[in-house]
Amino acid sequence: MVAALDRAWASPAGTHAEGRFASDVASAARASVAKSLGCQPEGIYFTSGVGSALERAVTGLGERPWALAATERLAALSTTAERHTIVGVDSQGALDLEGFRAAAQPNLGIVVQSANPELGTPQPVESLLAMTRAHGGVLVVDHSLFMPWATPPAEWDVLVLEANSWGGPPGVGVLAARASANYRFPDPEGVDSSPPVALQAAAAAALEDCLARSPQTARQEWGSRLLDGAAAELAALPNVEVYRAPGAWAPVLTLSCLYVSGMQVVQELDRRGIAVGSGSACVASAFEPSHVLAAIGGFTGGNVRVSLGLDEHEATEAVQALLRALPEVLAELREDEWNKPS
Amino acid sequence: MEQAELDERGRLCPEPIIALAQAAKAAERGDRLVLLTDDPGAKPDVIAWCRMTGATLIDQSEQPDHLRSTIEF
Repeated sequence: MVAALDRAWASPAGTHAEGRFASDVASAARASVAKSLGCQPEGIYFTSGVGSALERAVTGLGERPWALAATERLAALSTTAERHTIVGVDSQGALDLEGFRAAAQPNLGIVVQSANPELGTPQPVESLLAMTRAHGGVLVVDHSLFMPWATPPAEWDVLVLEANSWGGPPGVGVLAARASANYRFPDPEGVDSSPPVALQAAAAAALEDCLARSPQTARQEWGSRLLDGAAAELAALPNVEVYRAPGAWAPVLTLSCLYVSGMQVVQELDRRGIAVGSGSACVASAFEPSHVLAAIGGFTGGNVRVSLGLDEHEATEAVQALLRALPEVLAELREDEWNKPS
Repeated sequence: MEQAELDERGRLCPEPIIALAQAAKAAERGDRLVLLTDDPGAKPDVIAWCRMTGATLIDQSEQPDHLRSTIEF
């Protein structure tokens, strides 16, 4: 790893000694990730992030019709936009299998996150796989949020991951393609989408380390127990709606608070040392509310997204701090908002 | 039964929903309110607010530059 950071600065395409060294480091990173995932190194590609991995997953599988849930990542929705059917989800974030059945046709491609990205609701990936198999299609599984918390489904054609979910560097997406998928990585000449080789090596080492430190099942057990407990406590707060179904996966939990701004809640929690995200329009860079919450019929204002870190002790302390701080933050902000002159 | 109009165009979340809640507080059961908004979160949020508070969303329609929601308390 240190050697990689120190010496793997050259382009792996270079024919000089430094280029060959960088190429060896990149090959070792691919082999390491392949071993962690139980697939072939030839099918491993690094990209600049999960969005770019999804975009390349779709375009590298060729022209075909697509079906995907309304709650998929915007990168998946936009890349398939010319030929996609959007399928609904229920109020718990579970996708509508009947909607997929209705969209089934020869050569169909499906993109699915293994669980809902905000609610953690696991999706019926096996049923979707059977559907694509029956129609000569392909299944792209986006497991990017959940890799350290749940083993990826056993079968997929293309799997998409993101290194910072397992403590790797930011800006590294991973795309794994099975040979049977006839996948071709689209990388037009002159457009290098891959992250620096040193970051690829760091991502691969962090994945090995994460999986060696604790099995995903153990992490899932404490993570979902912690979030289930927090969800019950938060749901008791007045004018707060918590979106978490029984059996939902860690590490995500989302809730919306009436009569406050999502931006102000994030800022007030940040002042107290608690870092949360938000799907409210006022926080989003595109000024659009969370399409995931809108799809489940949730309230998008005053939204708080909780995502656990990988250390159980630190994650537990952070959640407890949130539970202590949020009632006070909401009371203060609501007082201000209600008394604001119109 | 009264039908008032609340023009919240130009105001961002959470203001339109707070104004809606304040109007609900002052309303009689069965009163209707037409709410005009252009906040990007208003469409899902008016639907969710009605569900959460027991109000009825009679109609919601996109106008060229705003959203028009009719709510019965």
